[in-house]
Amino acid sequence: MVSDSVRPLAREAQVMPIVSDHDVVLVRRAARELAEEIGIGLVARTKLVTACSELARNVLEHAGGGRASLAVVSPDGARRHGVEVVFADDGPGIGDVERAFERGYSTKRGLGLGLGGSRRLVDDFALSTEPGEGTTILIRTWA
Amino acid sequence: MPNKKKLSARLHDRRDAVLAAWLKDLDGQLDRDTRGFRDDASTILDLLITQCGHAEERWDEAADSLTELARARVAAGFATDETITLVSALRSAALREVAALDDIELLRHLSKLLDVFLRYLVDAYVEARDLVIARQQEDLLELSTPAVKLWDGIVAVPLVGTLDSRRAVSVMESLLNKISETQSTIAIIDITGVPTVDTQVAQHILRTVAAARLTGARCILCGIRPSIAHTMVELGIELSQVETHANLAAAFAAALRSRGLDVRTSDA
Repeated sequence: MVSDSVRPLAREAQVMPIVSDHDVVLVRRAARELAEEIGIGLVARTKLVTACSELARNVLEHAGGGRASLAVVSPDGARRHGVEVVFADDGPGIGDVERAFERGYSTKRGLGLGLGGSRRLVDDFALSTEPGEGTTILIRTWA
Repeated sequence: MPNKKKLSARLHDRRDAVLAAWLKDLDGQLDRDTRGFRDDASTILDLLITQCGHAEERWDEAADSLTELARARVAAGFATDETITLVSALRSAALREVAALDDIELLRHLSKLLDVFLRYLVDAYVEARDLVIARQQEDLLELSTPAVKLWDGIVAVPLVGTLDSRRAVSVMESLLNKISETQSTIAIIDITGVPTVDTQVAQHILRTVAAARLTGARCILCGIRPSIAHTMVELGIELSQVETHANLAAAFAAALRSRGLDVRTSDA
């Protein structure tokens, strides 16, 4: 499944590696700082940070590592700002995308809520994956 | 073959000059008091002079001493670049004295030795730093997960900070131990200090609740901030089997009630 919408709006982004538990914490912190910077409210900010936590951990657990690119984007002039985070890995890809979003479905021993939950936590969510080709997930939360 | 005896003799003769030039250079470059470093500097210089005189390369002894010295630098709070500055300042001071002999072979040999010195120092330095960090991590693990007894039969564990898998296991252990040690029937888990509750953290909490239940204790969860509550609902985290309260005070009051106790203002 490939969709165009994983194409980031950001021209420049802060790229962070995700190879250890600690990196998940760092990605979370970076997302929190960007969200604070553009004045995203506490609830939306907490949701964004939690989604980053889920998706970064997915990269770590399912692909053995990858990277997150974070940026503040404002597509239509300076009127609207958002935080955009793209998670990319070169892992095995997601075989059954429909099922991956199902509640309680997990190929590891997780709760099986992370992917579907993350989609509900942010404003924009796009996923592109191909078996053997890795996975890219883009999320955005607007201020 | 460079005349190693000649090199060693030259540095030995000019020892005080090298030391003085080195320390002076450091004073200018390092943003800290180098007076305390004088003894260590003499030791390093003497090691270098001895090392220059060896016909064959033997590093065991020097390596041990350098490791010791690097540890002392870590303890003194030196940063990596400061450690490198140390050796490069020694390099310029020593090379200056040996340059006067006008023997390129000697300079080359000295430079090679100094490279090895630098490598040993930096290796030892990084190792010593890693050790400090590992120890701090252990300390933090112990520190941040104290399960405490609040009353007969009631224990509590306040969770603070990032709950990664290692810490979660440590929390669970500490809580279960406290439950059995105090023969408690109620365990309060306070997550006021946890900034992010994702599915992994939720899973750890649910496992702790299940394990506590097996040891005969009921868990009460408290301190879920409104923004986190919102997020947990959206994520679909199911905590309906767990009794929850707004804060530690409410959870403690509920725990006391269920033990048949109640808190009153004294008449006096």
